[in-house]
Amino acid sequence: MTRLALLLWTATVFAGCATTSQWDGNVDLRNAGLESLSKRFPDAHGVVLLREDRYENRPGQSMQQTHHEALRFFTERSLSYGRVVIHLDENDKLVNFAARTLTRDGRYIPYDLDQLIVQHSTTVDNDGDSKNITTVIAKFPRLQTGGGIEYTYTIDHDGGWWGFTRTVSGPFPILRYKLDLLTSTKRGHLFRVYNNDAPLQASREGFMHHYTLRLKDLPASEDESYSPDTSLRDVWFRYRINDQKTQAWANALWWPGKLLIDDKRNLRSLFGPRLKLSDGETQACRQTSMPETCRLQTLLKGLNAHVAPTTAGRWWKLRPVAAILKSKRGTGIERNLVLYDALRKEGIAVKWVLATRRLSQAVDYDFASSDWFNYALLEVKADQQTHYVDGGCAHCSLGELPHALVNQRGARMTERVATQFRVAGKWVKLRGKATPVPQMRDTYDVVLDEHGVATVEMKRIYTSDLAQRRAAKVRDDDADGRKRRARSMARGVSSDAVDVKSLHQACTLRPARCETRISFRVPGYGERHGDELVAPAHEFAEHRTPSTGALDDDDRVGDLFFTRSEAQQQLWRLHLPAGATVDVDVKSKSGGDDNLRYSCSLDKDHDAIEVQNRLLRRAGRYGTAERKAMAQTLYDYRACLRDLLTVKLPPKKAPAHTPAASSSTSSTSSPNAVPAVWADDAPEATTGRP
Amino acid sequence: MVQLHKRALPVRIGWMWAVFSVVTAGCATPHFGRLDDTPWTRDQLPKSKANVVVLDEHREVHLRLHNGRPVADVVDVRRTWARNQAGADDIGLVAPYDGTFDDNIDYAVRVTSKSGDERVVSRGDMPDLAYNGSVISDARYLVAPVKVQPGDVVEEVVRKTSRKADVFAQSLVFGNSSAEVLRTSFKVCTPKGWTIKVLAMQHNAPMEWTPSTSSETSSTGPVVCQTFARNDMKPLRSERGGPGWHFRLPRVSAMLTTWVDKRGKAHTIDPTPERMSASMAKLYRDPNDEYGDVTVLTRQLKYRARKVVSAAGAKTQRDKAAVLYAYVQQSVEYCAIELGMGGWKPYAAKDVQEKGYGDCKDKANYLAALLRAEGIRSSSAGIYSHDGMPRRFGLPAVAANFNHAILVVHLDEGDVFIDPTTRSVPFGQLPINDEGADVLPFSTPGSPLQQTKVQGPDVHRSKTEAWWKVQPNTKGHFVVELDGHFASRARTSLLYSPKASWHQVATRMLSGVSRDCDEHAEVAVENADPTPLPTTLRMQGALKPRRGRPHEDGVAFRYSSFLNRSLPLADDDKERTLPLLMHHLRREEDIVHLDIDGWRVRRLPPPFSSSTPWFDVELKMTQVNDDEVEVRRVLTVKKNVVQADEVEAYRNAVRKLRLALGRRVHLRQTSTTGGAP
Repeated sequence: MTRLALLLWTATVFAGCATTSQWDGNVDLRNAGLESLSKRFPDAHGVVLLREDRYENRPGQSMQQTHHEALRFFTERSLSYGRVVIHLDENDKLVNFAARTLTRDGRYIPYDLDQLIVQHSTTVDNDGDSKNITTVIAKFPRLQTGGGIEYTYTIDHDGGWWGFTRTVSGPFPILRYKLDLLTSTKRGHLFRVYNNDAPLQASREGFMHHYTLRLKDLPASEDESYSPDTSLRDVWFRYRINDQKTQAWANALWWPGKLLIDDKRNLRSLFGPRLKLSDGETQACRQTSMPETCRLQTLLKGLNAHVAPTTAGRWWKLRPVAAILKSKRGTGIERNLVLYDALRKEGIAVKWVLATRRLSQAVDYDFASSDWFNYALLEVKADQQTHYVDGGCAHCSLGELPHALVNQRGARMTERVATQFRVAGKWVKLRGKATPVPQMRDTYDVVLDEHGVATVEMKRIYTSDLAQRRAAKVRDDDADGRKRRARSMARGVSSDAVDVKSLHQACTLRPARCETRISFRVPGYGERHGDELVAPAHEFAEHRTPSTGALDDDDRVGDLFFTRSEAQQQLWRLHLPAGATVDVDVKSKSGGDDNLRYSCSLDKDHDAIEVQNRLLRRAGRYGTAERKAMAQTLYDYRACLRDLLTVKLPPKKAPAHTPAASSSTSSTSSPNAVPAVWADDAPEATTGRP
Repeated sequence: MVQLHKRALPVRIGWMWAVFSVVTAGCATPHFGRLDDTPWTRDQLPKSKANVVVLDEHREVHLRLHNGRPVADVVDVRRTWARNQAGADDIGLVAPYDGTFDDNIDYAVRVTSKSGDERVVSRGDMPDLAYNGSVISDARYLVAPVKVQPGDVVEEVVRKTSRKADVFAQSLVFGNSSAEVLRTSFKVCTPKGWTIKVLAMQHNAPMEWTPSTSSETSSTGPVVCQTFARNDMKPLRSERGGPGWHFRLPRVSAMLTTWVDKRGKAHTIDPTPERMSASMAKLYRDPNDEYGDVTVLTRQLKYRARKVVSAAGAKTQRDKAAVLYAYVQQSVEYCAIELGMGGWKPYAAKDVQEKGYGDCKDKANYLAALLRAEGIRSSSAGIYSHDGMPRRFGLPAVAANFNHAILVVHLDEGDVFIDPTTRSVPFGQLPINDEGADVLPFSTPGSPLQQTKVQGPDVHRSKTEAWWKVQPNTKGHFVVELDGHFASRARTSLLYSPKASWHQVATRMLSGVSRDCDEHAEVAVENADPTPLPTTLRMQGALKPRRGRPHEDGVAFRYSSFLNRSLPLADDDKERTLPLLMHHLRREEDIVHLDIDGWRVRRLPPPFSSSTPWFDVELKMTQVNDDEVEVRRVLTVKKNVVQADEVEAYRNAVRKLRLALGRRVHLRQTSTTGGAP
């Protein structure tokens, strides 16, 4: 559409809107006291003086939504918020828009509605129906740091709303927030505010319930490391119609039910390949005392044989069973779908269970939403026993579940033929044995030569969940991919690693184990000083160690989350040059608590030094005191590993050369050769003095 | 409260829908033209390692007359095989088009699965989306709602008619950065009497490529066609630190040079930069389109220019230009709204002044008006803002060469290139993305193509000096002095950060000496605000105490414990075919004063110095007195590109530097002080 046409359209829509009396004095944008505000919020890019939301909902008839916001800008980055974008669905009407800019010197510039940009699009919804959407964009003129904007708009949504979720917190701190929610008394409803204890005023006005929420001084929403989801810290609210026939939370099952039970997308087609038992397998199971359990276990084996697990996928990308089997790999939910389909065909009772991984996001079990479910698994009844089976966990044996799911609550979906809403849900506790704590074990076999060059053979083993993830990553590796991974592993140990070679890479699903072996050299690992070689006792790669910066952060606002338990163990065996001796103190140390625990040891074994360390962290939500204690544990752990060895080399028969006087090097010699200057014998405590 | 016209929106949508239905009527059975003429069978699929194999990719352009003006009918056909899951995920079935300049858009997709099942999607079934990212424009996308499965062969046909074929060039990039391409071609057909100029480029240089020529008959009459074809193009191999795909893949562009109107009158478009320069200048002044003459100087513009110049007390031509430049930099917010011709033509200078926002060409044109008000001549200029590898000028057509606009100020002392889009680059300097680039000033008479200069290590300088103690849990302090690119980058960061976060900016500057600025202490900054003329930015403050257990015995620090900065290594296994980008020339000096009170030096590492064609470097650790060891590094980057055949030697030089950075100083505690503080 041409710009001219857009302008004409805009002029038609907003005819008669040149004057406005929207600004009723709820907020004094001009006299907000910029200096005191920027002192009060020194880390903020801007501040919202007032945000007001009003929702007036009559389900089945209309919903009127009004938004009003006034903000001041502190930094140039904040100016990007001077563009307001409003999305309108097919049945939505923008019935009011007014805005103004406040310049740094205190002048108001009213927004010219002719400047609104309107764009039309057509999209296709989940059911494949085409719909028109309109985007209205308002770019505010004359934005300046120290200035501000104020705007309000009202949208009429034809037909009303059945529910919605909104986050109050935003990129700027909010001085005052007001929410008015009016909902018809003719329909039951649920309304909750999360992460805030401010009182919610409720009253009845005619045929409407009226809720008012007032909040003050809300901090800006900020990302922090080791904090999985904003729902765990930001203020947000959720509203939903409760139509008496089902629990309000069960509406959360509407879309998963259509997808997984109604099979709207025809994922379980009757035709095409599917996972099934052979006649021999069926026969063999019949002869056991628990035939259904036997068939379930055989199908699980078949699933692992035919569908390799891949990394996480999205619900809306779920493929049909036939496509999954053809591609021979699938995400967690896809593997569950294949298993669900096979179990149904075998006549074994199976139901979908939707769950949320522990510590992944906030969940209100009385008022769930489909957005909160981030895991799907199966409840299988075999031989009068109930099993929770996660087809996505390839290394789980029957009765085992990933540790992030064990004892969590899950919504079990059942089919209800009688009602319009065809899915019913019930909370169940996911009982099972947790998979072992995932572990990363490194073993380094290091040969140090008399020039200080270390030749390293490194073996890394992942187990449990870590192994499954690793297997999915490396499955398609070709020679180049293996080389790339080898190089990245070696660089994790030393940035000076050269001649990196990939020796071996293999993964098994049961037991879950991924092993990688590489070799590399580290020139300059040890420094030669006459008859001595000075080298660190080890150079472990510590890429799975938590960051002390996050643990020790004085300014952190929210709690810190370790979403999974993990262990790492490393063994560094350093072989000295032939005839060399080293004088070291054998030591062993351990510390920490149940949240984070370490041990380290240094031992001498003939011509080798053996350094070993272990670090175990436990999944959990940690407050300031706990994370500070963990930071101290990590400092102690690192100090324990800070050893420098002085290796005495056997005396040489004849000196090789006289040390060079100059330290300049030419750019044409071999890159890996140890520069001659490194071998010079620097006299103690005098070198370098002017 | 004023109420808006409630009925307007649904009425409008209804009207739009009716138009849309008419346009898309008859699209239910799409025809695949050339793809149907060249059927394929699954056993013809090649053995390939690529995730996606493009079996055919052809663009055919027919230039013709429509309503008395030249238009281009463009047909793209593509047949792609998703060899595996990664390939299926990579294939996006999207047809982009321009909502203003493209008509008769049609998009058809046919997907054939491994088992031979066919799915066909036509335009009527596709979402048609307006796309707005950081730029608000008429860019639109047709999206085929089809999920590609591994093994699928996808056939696509996109048809559109591009208006203004006498202004825009038509082009095709041959090959693909991540897919193998078996057959690809670009065919341009012109009616008899029309001529085109064609340019093939790769690796920033024109290449010899003789097309096959044929005479054909199209629906509009006899045409002459030129076809460029390539077969068996492998996906690009990744080479770290090298230029992007647009440098590596061959590209053929064609522009119309002669066309004949209905009355038989021939119109000639001279394919020279000078002609393009004059055309762009004319476009800016054209009063007949929706943007009007954007160079008109109003009373308000004159008043503003006078006010800014007199407030600053600028007397000389250069000073006046500098203060007006700084004024535009800070008073016009960057915001790109490019509707209609807005991709190439700015808003009028008076509108930019009124609204206070604009994109690169809006800012350049507004500054040109302010300068003119003060009697200083200048010209807006097109340039390609690059990421280290300047892109050379191709055909002199709109939308073929430039992604950015700057200004050349014609001072009596000589021309000065300036980029008012930057927020903190001073007058007389250019941002590094504009250095060494082809630039075309828009002027009447036409200007020849020029090149911006490359600024040297005397311009881009940083000096970081820090003081701290051996033990952790102790504070230190620092001073940073920045010029050129270092200063502008830091100033922009300061402008974009609240004052309480300035320590984060300082921490980034301190990355060279491996320490963080203390977030609880104030950072003092001199010349924090951008200045019209170059000044040194100076920051000083406290270093954050490095936490941890105190050292209890001997300790060894490497050079790299103090000096973190190095050079890109380009550590690829295979033979290097691409240059390595060093981004800009510079001089970096990092000095750490290590307070060793209570400790003694057991050994110092030897100094290291190296002079190569690309950089000079010096590393030195010296004991200044009983209490201090000074660690110093000076690096001067002398070339902004390391050519492919030099990379091996360069790599060796960098490895030596890295090895030297691994050398250690050994310290022992003196008996008098005992344990840790």
